[in-house]
Amino acid sequence: MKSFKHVNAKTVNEAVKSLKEHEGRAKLIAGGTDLLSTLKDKILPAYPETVINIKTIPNLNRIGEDGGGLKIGALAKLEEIAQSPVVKEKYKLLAEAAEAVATPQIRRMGTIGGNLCQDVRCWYYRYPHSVGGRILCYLKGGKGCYALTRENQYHSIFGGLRDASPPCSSACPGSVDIPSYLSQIREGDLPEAAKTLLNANPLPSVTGRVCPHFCEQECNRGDFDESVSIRDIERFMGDYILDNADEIIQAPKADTGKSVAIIGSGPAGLSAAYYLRMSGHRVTVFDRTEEAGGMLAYVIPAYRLPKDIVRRVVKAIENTGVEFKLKVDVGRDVTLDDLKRDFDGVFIANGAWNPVSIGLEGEELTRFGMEFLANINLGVKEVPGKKVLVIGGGNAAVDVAVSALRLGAEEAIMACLESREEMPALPWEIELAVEQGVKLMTSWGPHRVLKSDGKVRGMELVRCTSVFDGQGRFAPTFDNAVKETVAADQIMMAVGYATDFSFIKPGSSLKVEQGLITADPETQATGVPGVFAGGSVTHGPATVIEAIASGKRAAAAMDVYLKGKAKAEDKDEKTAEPFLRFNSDYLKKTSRVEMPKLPVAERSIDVEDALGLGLAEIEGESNRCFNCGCVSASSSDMGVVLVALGARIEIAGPGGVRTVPVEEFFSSLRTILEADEMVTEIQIPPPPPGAKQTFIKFRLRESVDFPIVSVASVITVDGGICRDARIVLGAVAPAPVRATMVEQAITGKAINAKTAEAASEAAVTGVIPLKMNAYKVEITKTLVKRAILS
Amino acid sequence: MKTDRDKGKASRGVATAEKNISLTVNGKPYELMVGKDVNPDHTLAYTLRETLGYTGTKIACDHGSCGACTVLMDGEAVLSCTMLTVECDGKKITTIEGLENRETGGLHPLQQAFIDNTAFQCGFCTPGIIMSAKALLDKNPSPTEEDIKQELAGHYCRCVSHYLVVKAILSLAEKGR
Repeated sequence: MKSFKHVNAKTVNEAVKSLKEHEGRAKLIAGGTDLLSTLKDKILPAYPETVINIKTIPNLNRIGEDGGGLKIGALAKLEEIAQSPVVKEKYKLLAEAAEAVATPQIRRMGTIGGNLCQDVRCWYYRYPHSVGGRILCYLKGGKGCYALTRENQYHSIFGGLRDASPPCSSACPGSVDIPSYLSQIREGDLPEAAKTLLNANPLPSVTGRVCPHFCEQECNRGDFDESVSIRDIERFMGDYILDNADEIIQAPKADTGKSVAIIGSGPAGLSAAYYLRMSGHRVTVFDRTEEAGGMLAYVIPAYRLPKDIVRRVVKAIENTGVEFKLKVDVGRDVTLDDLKRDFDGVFIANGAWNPVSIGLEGEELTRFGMEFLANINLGVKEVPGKKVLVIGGGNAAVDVAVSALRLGAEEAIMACLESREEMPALPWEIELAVEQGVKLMTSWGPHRVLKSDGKVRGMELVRCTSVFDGQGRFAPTFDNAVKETVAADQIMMAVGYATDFSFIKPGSSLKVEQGLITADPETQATGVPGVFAGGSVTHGPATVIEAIASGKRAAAAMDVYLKGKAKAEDKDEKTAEPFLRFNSDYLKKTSRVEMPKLPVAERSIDVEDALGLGLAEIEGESNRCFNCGCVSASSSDMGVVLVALGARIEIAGPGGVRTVPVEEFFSSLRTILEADEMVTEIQIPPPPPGAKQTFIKFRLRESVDFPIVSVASVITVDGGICRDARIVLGAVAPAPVRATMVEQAITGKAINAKTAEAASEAAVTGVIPLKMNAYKVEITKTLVKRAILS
Repeated sequence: MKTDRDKGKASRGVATAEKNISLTVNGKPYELMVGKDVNPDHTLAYTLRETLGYTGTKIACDHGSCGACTVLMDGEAVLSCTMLTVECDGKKITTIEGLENRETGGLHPLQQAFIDNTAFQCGFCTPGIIMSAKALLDKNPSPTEEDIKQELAGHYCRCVSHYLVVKAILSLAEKGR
């Protein structure tokens, strides 16, 4: 074991206080039989700094009945429970389960609290060599579960569980709950999937086309075969939402009477408008342009994002009651002070539209690439030149170069400081450029514009030897001895854009630093009360989804500001199926489906390159989602019987004591205990008098081993008819599984072989066996039958 | 405190000397200074073997699953690999070395019974099994075969000596009747 500090707690309060002080860097030790193994195997996500001994707390091991049933202190040893006369007489199930744990020595050392809190014992921990010696799974701060696609004979047959964001959602700046909406698509519930998607992103038809989809880069499936085509699914869902916008995007029922002005109708502004409107606020969006959409409408080429899509998105948002005031230039037609006076809140998201000058000799003869793109979207479709040189290595430079070729330029060259690997444009954007015939000149810096007769003739470039300094900061260095001359009759600059802050009057309390408005990264709040800012004005030009996310953050914070109170946190709705479902047919290697694209020769300036996928294809693709979680099998024998007995668990924390039903206790991986909480008591109501209590544990060896499958049942039979039943399965899922289908199948029925047979089938309804554990399904059925007929 | 073993091992780690742990092993008292003789992460099995030299106690799985490290603590059979020495303050420990007759140096009847019944092959698991058997016989001098099997359910022997172990213990149980 690695070293740790060791302290003895004398009271529960002392233990909890110490846990709190350590902020997750301490672990409690009771019997030690679980903890010391996890420390030796180093299978905890973080090795504890301190181990707090709670065996030194007096009176926490009592076992006794009062009016409310049986109370067992968390430190009661399993052997004491197994031997307790009252437990053996009235709570036989508990005594049997305690007796079935591990070995006599462990039962004499291990406590009931420890048994409930034992770490997830993935059977995989026994074979770390098969994954390179060090386990780095979902539970240990990694991102995947080895058992899904490798050895899984001892794992869950009811799906997985996760208690943190999966890697795809974590990678998404907008935190879209990707696995959930893919699950809803698998279940055929497109309206629900639409709702899930809209919860985090009101513009999926846009992002489904232009988002770089960081999610796909993190998709665990990518390490197995190929990542899920999340973008293509999102595009389908986005279009589905637009096609059904009237039903899916409805005006809010509530009206708060508060008004908000939004400056800028780009992705940040639209996102904030949508969420603020959904919270019942009156929203007015201002933009100086003729059409709403900002960059979406004017900069992104139509072959990537058809303008009809942007118009339909804006229309859908407008239909919820958002008012668009276009051709209104804030700063000229109306001032920021006017808006602050007339509205209860203001969100500034006017983007970055101004050219950046790099101080180049002859720069005045070059053209600003964004203006070129905007003109195309305004309908100006002229050939920009014969030989077009584009300066820049980002996505905008790609758009400029590709558009130039599509408008009829004979040649387009992209010259950038970066090497091909360093280019800021996304790899597939660069591919697109190369496919189109754009020539790349990497590691070249613009030196001076060559001109004659006041016309551009080309450019002299010098070798760029490095772009970034040791700290990763932009600090290009050049070798002026290495030169190259490129002939061109048009030079377009795509090296960045700046924000126009002319609407901010001198002396304004809005803080602008290095060309950006200073805003709180969590709330987008500026220093001025009621004024929030987001999108490119606060974080510089970035992706559409980052702008959407900042709009959403601002909307949430503005909602709190406008209502004067924090919104009550949404309680997660408990679904009937608590475990993460996936399609086990797709655990074998499959290929991803991708949208077909028009052949290069047929691509044009205003027809979308990518053809969408159909419902059947995206349903198939959503089946490829692993719905990543942990598929370990819960091994606590006491947990299973306590659920069957309807017990509650008393938990002490810094804020006092709470009690929760055992089922809830296990509703999260590693239980719902917070880092500063401990179990203090188990409270068990008296079982119905005369109820038949049975615990069956199937394992490989009759001692030591964890269960392969276990069943705990409390069945009340009267005159041969089952009146009441609680049946719980253990080791078949990441938590004990209450088999309500079995309970329903036998309640009111005569207890006989036929009922037991039907019940055993009901026990495995919805089962998702993995490649190597279908045998557990048969064992489960058999044990359920035996429990009913015992 | 002087030990037979390398003292350097005991001084690693972050713990500071703040308290002493008193242990009695096979009747002999020890005062162990935390941070010097014993670290918080030392298991009792480690301390017995590496710090105090009682190598009769064996570490096999080191995870509380095989029983090889079993010693008696205040008369009860416990897994010494799965408890921290710093939590054993004031305890009386008996290891396999403590079973010999102190006056004659002769074997304990249990040890003799194991020899008489050839109840081991390699012998690695034997000290742990004998300590569990000792605890059982101390509580119940005439256990049944089932009692013995139950009590020894936490001991695993790769040489499959289990049958002869049960026979050896039963031979003493008969005497107890």
